[in-house]
Amino acid sequence: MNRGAVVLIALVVACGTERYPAAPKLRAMSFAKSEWSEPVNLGPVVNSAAGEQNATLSPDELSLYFSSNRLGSLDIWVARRACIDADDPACAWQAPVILGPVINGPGADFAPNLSISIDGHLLFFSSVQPDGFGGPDIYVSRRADPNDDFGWEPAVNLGPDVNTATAENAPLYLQSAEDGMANLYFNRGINALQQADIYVAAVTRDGETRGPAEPVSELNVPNANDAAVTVRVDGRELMFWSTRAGGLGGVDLWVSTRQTVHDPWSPPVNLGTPLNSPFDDLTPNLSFDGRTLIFGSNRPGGSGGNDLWMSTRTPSGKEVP
Amino acid sequence: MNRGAVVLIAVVAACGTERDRSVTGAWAAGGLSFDVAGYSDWSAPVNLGSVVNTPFVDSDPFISKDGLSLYFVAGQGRGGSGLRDIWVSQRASTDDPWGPPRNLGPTVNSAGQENSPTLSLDGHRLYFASNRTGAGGFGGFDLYVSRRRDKRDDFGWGAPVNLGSGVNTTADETDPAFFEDEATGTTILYFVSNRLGSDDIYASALQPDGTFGPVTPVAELNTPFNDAQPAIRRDGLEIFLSSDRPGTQGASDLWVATRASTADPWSAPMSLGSVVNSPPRPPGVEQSNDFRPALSFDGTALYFASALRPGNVSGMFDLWVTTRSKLKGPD
Repeated sequence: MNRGAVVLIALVVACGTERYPAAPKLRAMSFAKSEWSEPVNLGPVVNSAAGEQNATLSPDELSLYFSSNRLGSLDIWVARRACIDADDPACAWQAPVILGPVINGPGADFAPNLSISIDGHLLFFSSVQPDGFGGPDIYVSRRADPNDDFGWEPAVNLGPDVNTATAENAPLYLQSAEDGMANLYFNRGINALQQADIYVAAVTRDGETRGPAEPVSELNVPNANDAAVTVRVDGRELMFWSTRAGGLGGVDLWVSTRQTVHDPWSPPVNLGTPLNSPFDDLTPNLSFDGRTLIFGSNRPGGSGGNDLWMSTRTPSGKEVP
Repeated sequence: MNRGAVVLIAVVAACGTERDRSVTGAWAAGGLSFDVAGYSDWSAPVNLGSVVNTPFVDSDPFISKDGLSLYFVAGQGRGGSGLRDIWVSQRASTDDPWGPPRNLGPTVNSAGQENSPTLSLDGHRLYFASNRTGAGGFGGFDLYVSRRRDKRDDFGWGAPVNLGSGVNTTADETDPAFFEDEATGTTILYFVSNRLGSDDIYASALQPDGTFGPVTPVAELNTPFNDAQPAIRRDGLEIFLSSDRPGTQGASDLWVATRASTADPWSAPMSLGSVVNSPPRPPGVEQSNDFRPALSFDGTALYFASALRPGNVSGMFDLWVTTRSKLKGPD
């Protein structure tokens, strides 16, 4: 079967909702002088003794999608909260709920990513399906109501522009702040062979590919995994994890920037402490406002396996109110 | 390939550049999802005894998933059709002793040498290396696969097929080992080749069409010395090998490397130490070999071959086993 080649979904693009900002401001964000805070474990309501990673925060920061193998196989879960004040107990994350059989099939399903800066109608994720192209492939699911975390329709394989016989993982959808076009970042290659490299494919705002994916060569090194991109909404800052030399031990988070979205990415720099540790620090996710980073780590102080951790920063020149 | 040769090595201090991290329950995008508990230390090895071991070469063990079939390679003297053949010993339960080994027969064994038998996890495929002559070989030892319909029939193997030019070269290819990643559906073939001179460990992913993809060296495990005979735990987080790298006591020792997740590089291999590896012999005489580790499915038994080890039935290679127990992990 050729999922993704023949499926055309009539998508009703919702009129702008308050929950999903229609488009980011064109003005670049500035975090040049800010520092990341000491990471905080998201706590035992979200994290389990099994593994959690691949978080994606909805633009309103009220829904947290992530991967977990707490039930044995890798599945996609979502946690909700009523408000975002970290100091207010009423705003604490509620117990995560598994997304259910429409998204989670019998194989591994992981690395969810919500379409950010459009309208929250798309969910990209990695999945192992018998009718895929081989290994994990990238799929997209759509929903009519961007406020319904359980309204996802059956997922569609993105097709041969993105998926191949090897592994495709960790999709990141980003609509350009300048021209409204969209890109899908992901990594291709088997992690166990240190092959993963970062690729990008042009996609429509409905999540269909517009041509073959190409490697983002300035971010990749040979014989190491370069994986799980997160891009700031203004397209000028990008983070990923890598097993390249020069880290603090284990898998580390790296950052690259560019002056404009038309420039190549700068040589990646290790994010250093406190984001990185001698343990695995991986699958970063930047919030819509660029101030919050949620990532996976098996550093001490968690619930076991990889846990989700959070760090924050404030824009340059501004104080915490 | 330089198996079992007399090797005298000037020990050079190894450079400790890699981190040394304990195995945790981590997994990563595209990685696996096992909970990885710790294990106790390995016990003092036990000789498999004179039913299995002969006065001749007995080497290259592989233990089936159910622990009831022990595949290995026996040399001339035991009988068979060549210098080295694949044999199998069976037992009724893991508490029973091993029965008398039987030759796999002429469908699998050739007039040349066979070595390093390895079963797929589903039990339907037997991979091994052979330097047989005839059509389909690429030179030296090549990897072959034989299939059977009944995974309980150790003598039902079909005619071997060469794995092809994606894996095999004019150099030697030996020592197949498989990691079948249940989380991602990825199957990775590890094997050994001396295509660049010394033995090194390589990896290749099984493609959906049944062929093996591009071959890449596993750089973290290789040295300019001989690094060979990988055996990987089924969760992909621990790999055993034999090597004559600096730090070896004798001609070759068993080494182990770990990783926190399948996305991590392997740690620098560490020697399994003096409990498992044979004690050094006096300078100037032939040195002992510890060879071809084979891990049981549950990770608690490690079969291997030792030459010139105190307690050997033969003056050559005997089969030995060491065990460990699984420590309770976090709930």
